[in-house]
Amino acid sequence: MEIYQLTAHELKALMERGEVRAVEVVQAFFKRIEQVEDKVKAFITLTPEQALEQARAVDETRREGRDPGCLAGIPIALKDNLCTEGLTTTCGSRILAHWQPPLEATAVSRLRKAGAVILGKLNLDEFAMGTTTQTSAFYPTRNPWDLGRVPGGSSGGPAAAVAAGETPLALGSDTGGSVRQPAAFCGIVGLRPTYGRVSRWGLVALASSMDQIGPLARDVTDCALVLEVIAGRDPLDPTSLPIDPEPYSKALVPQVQGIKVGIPREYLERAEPGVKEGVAQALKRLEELGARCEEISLPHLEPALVAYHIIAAAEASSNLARFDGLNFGLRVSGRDVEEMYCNTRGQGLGPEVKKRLILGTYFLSKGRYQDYYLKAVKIRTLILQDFRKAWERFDLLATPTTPTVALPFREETFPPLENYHSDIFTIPPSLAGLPALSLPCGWSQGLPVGLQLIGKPLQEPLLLQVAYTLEQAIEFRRARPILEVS
Amino acid sequence: MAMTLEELEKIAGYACIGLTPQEREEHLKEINQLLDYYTQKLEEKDLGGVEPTFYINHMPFRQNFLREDKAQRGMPREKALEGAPMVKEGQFTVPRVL
Repeated sequence: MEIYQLTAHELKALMERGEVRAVEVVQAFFKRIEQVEDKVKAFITLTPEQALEQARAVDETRREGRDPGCLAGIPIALKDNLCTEGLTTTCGSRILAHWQPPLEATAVSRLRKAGAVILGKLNLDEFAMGTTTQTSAFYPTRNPWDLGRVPGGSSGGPAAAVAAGETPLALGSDTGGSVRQPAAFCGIVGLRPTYGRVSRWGLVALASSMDQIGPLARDVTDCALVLEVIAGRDPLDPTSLPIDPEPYSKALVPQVQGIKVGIPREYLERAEPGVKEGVAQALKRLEELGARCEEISLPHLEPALVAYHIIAAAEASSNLARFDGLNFGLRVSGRDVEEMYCNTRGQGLGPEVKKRLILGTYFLSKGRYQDYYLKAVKIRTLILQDFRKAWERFDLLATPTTPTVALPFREETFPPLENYHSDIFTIPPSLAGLPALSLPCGWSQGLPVGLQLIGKPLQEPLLLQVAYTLEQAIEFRRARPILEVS
Repeated sequence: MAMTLEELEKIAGYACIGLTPQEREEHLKEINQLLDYYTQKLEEKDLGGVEPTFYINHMPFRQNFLREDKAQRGMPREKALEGAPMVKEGQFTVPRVL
């Protein structure tokens, strides 16, 4: 097997046994990138020189008998809304096309400290607003399983890069499903940690009450490995929880005997037949392994979707006010300061972002606040109550990650409502701040189907354990898209 | 509750987003479609007596965790200014306001 086909933990073992050097690993991935990137278009920025330099340092540390860190020499690529000091961070937007942050995201510095080697920055929907990666100001990313289909979004670059073998690991961000939905569309594993589990410092904010950073990888073990490194309290993010991260890798035992899994019937009913079938098969397997699966009702799917879009737009309209032509990035001049703001934001932001910022401003404006925003945050309470009730009977919940498999590309200025619905199953746990994971579990129309597992707050270990057990049983993890190399 | 063109212009002004006449038309159509859908779905639900949840805090008693109130070395000024489009004499440059 080629180096680029291996998982991070396999690469780690090989490097620790001295069978391969970090430099060779990094070179192998850049070779793969060279072969397939013109088709997939997952990256915005590549950093081969810095990566090779980092890899050489890891090899040197190891030669000297010192500990190079638990992710030493393992390549990782980052969604381009994670700040990297001195390295362009675009957020997929013209307004930040040349912006080099003066600071680094905490999750990123923790990865560097653990010896991970950063290959570059990955494409996304502009400011993470989208479900297809088509709203990126640069170019759309393509799904490695079918280049005529979207990779999902907003972490479409991260998901496609992992699926295409351009990197074994990626870091994304998930507000309403931006890690899990593209992971499902691209046939890989994506984890959204509990709100507060990972510091948001240095993640360019979309909706602060829901944003979380999470890993995308080929298997569950790799996700656990990354979470172990990035989780934990950070004084720079007051919403990061003062609870020590657990050794998540140790949770990976193949055992689900007696674990109670709730299956929300409204979710299964909304999925297209192929997805429903794939998920049902996986749940059957889970039962054979000893889990106790039972139906449950979680009735507020459509209200949750609406509440999410109102809350996310409202929070974004406030968060993105900082892009004003003064402090960062693009500036388009005007006769006075107001005109400069309007010109800069008018020309620097794309249509979907402008639409959401206008809507968000509207939802928070006098008279509309009661009609929209306040109703949305009340619906959020109902979602929390639904989950609390579920936890009285179940240890975790299982749903399809998405109602459909990866959708074909469509050329419209604004994404149709159908695209918004592609997050309908991932949004409720986002609103409730719960940990959730997407695991590839089967096929429909030759495309991957994702199973979403939702856990109680801070129950990532159980989530990972169940996902790991199922993963071993369904053997999806060796499946790779066939990409003709150039 | 459909948004009018005047309302759109006013709200876009609050958000400091310049729109061309064509963009205004397109955004208005799109926004009204969404507002229609949102309003319809919000009306279906009786929210009487339901408390709002503005943010999620998983800690018991919803504690907050702030840094110790101690002076720390911040980012050097030059560095903070590096990403700015226009800088003069160690300051962000703003168009004339007076």
